[in-house]
Amino acid sequence: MIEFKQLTVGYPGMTVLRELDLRVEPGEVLAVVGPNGVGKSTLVRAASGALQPLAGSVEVDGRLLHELPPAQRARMVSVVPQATSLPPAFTALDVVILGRTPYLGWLGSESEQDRSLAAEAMARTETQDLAQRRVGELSGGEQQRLLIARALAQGAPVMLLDEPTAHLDLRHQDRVLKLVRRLTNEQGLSVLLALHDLNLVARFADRVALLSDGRVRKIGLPHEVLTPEELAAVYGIQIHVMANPFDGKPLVLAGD
Amino acid sequence: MKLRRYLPWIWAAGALLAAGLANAAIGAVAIPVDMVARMVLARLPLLEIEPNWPAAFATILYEIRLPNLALTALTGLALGGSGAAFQGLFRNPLADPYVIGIASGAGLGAVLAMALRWPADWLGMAAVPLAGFVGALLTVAVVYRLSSVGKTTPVTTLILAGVAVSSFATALTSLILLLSTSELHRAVTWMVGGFSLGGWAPVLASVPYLALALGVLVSLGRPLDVLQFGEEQATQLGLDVDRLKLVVVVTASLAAATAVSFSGIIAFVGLVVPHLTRLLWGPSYRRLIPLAALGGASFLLLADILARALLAPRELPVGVVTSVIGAPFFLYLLARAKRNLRAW
Repeated sequence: MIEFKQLTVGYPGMTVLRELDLRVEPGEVLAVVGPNGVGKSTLVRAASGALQPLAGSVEVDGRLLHELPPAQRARMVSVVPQATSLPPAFTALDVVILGRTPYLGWLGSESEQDRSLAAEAMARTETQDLAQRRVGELSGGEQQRLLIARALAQGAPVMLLDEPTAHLDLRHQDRVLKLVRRLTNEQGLSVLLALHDLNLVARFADRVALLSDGRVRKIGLPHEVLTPEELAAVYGIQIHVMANPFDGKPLVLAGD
Repeated sequence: MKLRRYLPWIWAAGALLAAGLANAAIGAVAIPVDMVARMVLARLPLLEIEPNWPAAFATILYEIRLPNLALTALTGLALGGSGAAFQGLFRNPLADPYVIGIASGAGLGAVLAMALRWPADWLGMAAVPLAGFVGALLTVAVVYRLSSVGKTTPVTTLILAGVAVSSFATALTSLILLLSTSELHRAVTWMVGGFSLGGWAPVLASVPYLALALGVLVSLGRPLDVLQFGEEQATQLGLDVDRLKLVVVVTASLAAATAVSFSGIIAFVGLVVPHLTRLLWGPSYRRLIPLAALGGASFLLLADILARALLAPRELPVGVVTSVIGAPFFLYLLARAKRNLRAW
């Protein structure tokens, strides 16, 4: 479980998010949505420990994240970044096994157990056939699943994903998010998912937090948050929401 | 499968052995390779080998060529290893102790130390390498600050900052040399990378520094691999990035400064060798640093043969040879980087 308490984060001279209270339970996918620049990525950075909070705290299973050294933080929180600018000559297996870094220290080398955990993570993300391929040869979707495998190999109870479907086509978007959903259920992960696509959010998230002007404007089940009134107020355009004819979940359409 | 894993090491060791034998055998007086091998083995304990070689060979090999060979190899190890480490640190294949100005900074420090005690016998003393080390650290700090854009170190700013700082350090070095007129010739030769000092003293003096620096660098391969994903991801993977950068800067500068202090400024070894090593054996710094160190030694031993043979009986400074090979290679890399900035 990861919990933000009165979290205020930002950069020198600019506060991005103010007094945020959020909590992600084990087995839950919480989607964070909102317009560009609202601070979704900043939230992920703060939640990973890479960015120090200006005020408030991030707690994982009751421990203050920012007071821990990097290796201990990385055992509690894993991050799936966007698959851009990965070192192209590394093999897929090289990438995944780096997920074991928090357990090794500088001078350590991987044990058989680390190798088998990396192999297991690749099997769960269906990337095992790519093991010896170079990262530069892989498609965007394959790279993204590889980064999920690396995060899984970290063995942390909390996983943060920052726009994992940003550059993917429909099929790969679907595949990546189905994978995230399955892993959340199977492993009881607490997942924080920053995502632009509201229809994907409606399909895959348990709860949604709508950010606006540096605060959580509304948090709740997808059909409670993804309403025409709320979305129109935040995005500043007219928005229609109807029931998805296939699963009854909210279907968001923009335009007049 | 098992053989494939050891293949890079077999190659690197074989190349070093061949380059070493050739370096010892070739010269104004040629010594047959098998005799070189016998003469070296004869010096090892427990082996009893009948000395059947002319006395002149013994003088040439034991007192001139072997010390020169050892210093050349050690310098190559330092330049190859520190070049690979700097490339990993800056995440930039064009980083090299010479290109980013560290060699010039170390040279300035070393010359300053020499000038202060000039013309006292400075060999074997700690002052010169330590001053070189300080010069190298200052240079890398300045270059890094000047060339950082946010959290990245772009090729263009890195090279511009390196050139500027390097020119400045070189100008100061020249000034000091001009002011201290005695032994000017020797110092100039030293500046362009001539192994003209001779004897075992510089070899023995440089071993502790290099053993320390290279020992640490070789053990940092894994964290440097993690760093290749960027500082933020490296932090999120549990790496203490600031501490790693500090340790790499200090140890790689120590290696480069030791090489410069004892052998002068030898350009591009730290650029060419890690690059070729990466092309041959992949990008992982766990293998890259030790293999580039071994490759650097072989490369410099071969360059040293050329330096002694090209204009025989005159000897060229080996730095001239490495620059003639390295500079076009550098331009080629730059042209490629222009086309595809993330080609490596």
